[in-house]
Amino acid sequence: MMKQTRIPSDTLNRIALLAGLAFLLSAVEYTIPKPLPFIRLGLANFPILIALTCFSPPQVLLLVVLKILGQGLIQGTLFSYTFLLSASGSFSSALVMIFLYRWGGKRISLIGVSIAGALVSNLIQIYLAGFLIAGAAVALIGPPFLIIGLVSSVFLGILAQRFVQTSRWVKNVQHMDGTAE
Amino acid sequence: MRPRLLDYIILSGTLFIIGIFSFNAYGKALTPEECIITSPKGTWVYPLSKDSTLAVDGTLGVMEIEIHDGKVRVVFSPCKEKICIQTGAISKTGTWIACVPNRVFLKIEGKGDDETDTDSF
Amino acid sequence: MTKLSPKILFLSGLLVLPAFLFQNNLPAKASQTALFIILCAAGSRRMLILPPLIAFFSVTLMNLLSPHGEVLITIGRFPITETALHTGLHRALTLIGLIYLSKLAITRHTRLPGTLGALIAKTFFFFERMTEEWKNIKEKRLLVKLDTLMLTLEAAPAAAKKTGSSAPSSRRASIMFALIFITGNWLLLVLTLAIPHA
Repeated sequence: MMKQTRIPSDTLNRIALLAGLAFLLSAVEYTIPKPLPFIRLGLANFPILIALTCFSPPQVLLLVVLKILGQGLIQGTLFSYTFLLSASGSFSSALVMIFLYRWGGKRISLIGVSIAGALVSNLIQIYLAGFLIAGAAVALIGPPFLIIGLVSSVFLGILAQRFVQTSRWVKNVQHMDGTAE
Repeated sequence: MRPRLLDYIILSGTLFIIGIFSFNAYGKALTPEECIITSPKGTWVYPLSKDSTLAVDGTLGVMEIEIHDGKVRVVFSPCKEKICIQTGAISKTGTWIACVPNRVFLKIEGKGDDETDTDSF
Repeated sequence: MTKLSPKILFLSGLLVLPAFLFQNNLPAKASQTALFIILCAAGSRRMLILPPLIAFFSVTLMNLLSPHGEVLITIGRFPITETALHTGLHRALTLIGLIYLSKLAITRHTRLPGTLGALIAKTFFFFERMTEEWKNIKEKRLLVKLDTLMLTLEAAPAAAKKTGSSAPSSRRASIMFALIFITGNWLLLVLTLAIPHA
């Protein structure tokens, strides 16, 4: 099922570590009081941004899978629309982020990647929500949802970029794996 | 550490997309064009955006109404003169079709440009 | 509910899923959703009643905002239409029902098979260690603290090999539950399909 034989166990360990961080951030985000329940801050994207700089695309996607499955299991919503929405959002945004990061090279930083990822994820979730749950009325909630997503993704991107540039952990990974950008 | 070129481009692109989305959302969603059908047997509301065929009960019998491509027209009516069918298709806000013998009225409502001044029947 | 085998619960959930999704009859769907909620409540001590209620009303309301079909009641200038109401209720019930069906099928003891399952287990392990170690790190600056946390955790690999803390489960009760649960829901689906929708 997975090309697991090609991924060294050290790397798997690190991916699991980042995934654990994603859970932690999800839990943190859950406890932040929000005026409206559907607003997502996307804090759990932070490890994914970091992973972009340390791991290859398939490995990054593995991280995304772990993050999605884990959230589905923790909240117990694996069979529901909620899961479908967040999984679709996370996947599509991951693909876009991977592409942008590789293609952008020196002309892009994690800020732009984060913004684009959040936009894609939110648009897809809005579309699916309209189709499956709320009908056309979802367009009314769309704009605030997108704007909040934009603001939080900018901050997240800035944090991620700063982290990647100063973190010892990241440097270790990049030197050891040889997948440094 | 400062933002790079593509960051700004993506940011502007995103703002642009959000703008367009909002414009469409608050434009369309709040002022949809709908066809309101009244008969002694009840009132019906249908959006013009979705193609559908409807059967409406009037005093004489069942009328068949078709919504297609944002336009409404009467396909079949049990009345004698069939004026309602001859009226053809309506699509602009404020326009209406009436089948007096069957006592069925169709009217288009929405906040689009009003075709007529009168609001009352 | 807590005595049931996680594997069987998961399978039951999976098998009931289509029987719920394809259910179009509103009263039937409502009863299924109610059933799932009740079964969930039976399994865990605390259950929040507010979130599903809010979800139910907001989804229905949002669907009512696109009027469609025969007008049932007009509140002020706002028409409540039949088809829109039906779609709204249906979607709301589906949304809530799916969530509780999932919660039913997935417990904290649910394990995914294979290497993926092992990876998830390792992820949970890191998650728990992180929540503990975070307090122990003296550093104040956020990013540095995070960095230190990650370095610390990576250095101490899966020392606690949690050999799948499987709770004792009654196999017999699990199978009985599964059979009743699965056949009950499918029977409901067949019944509502057989009776033509008025």
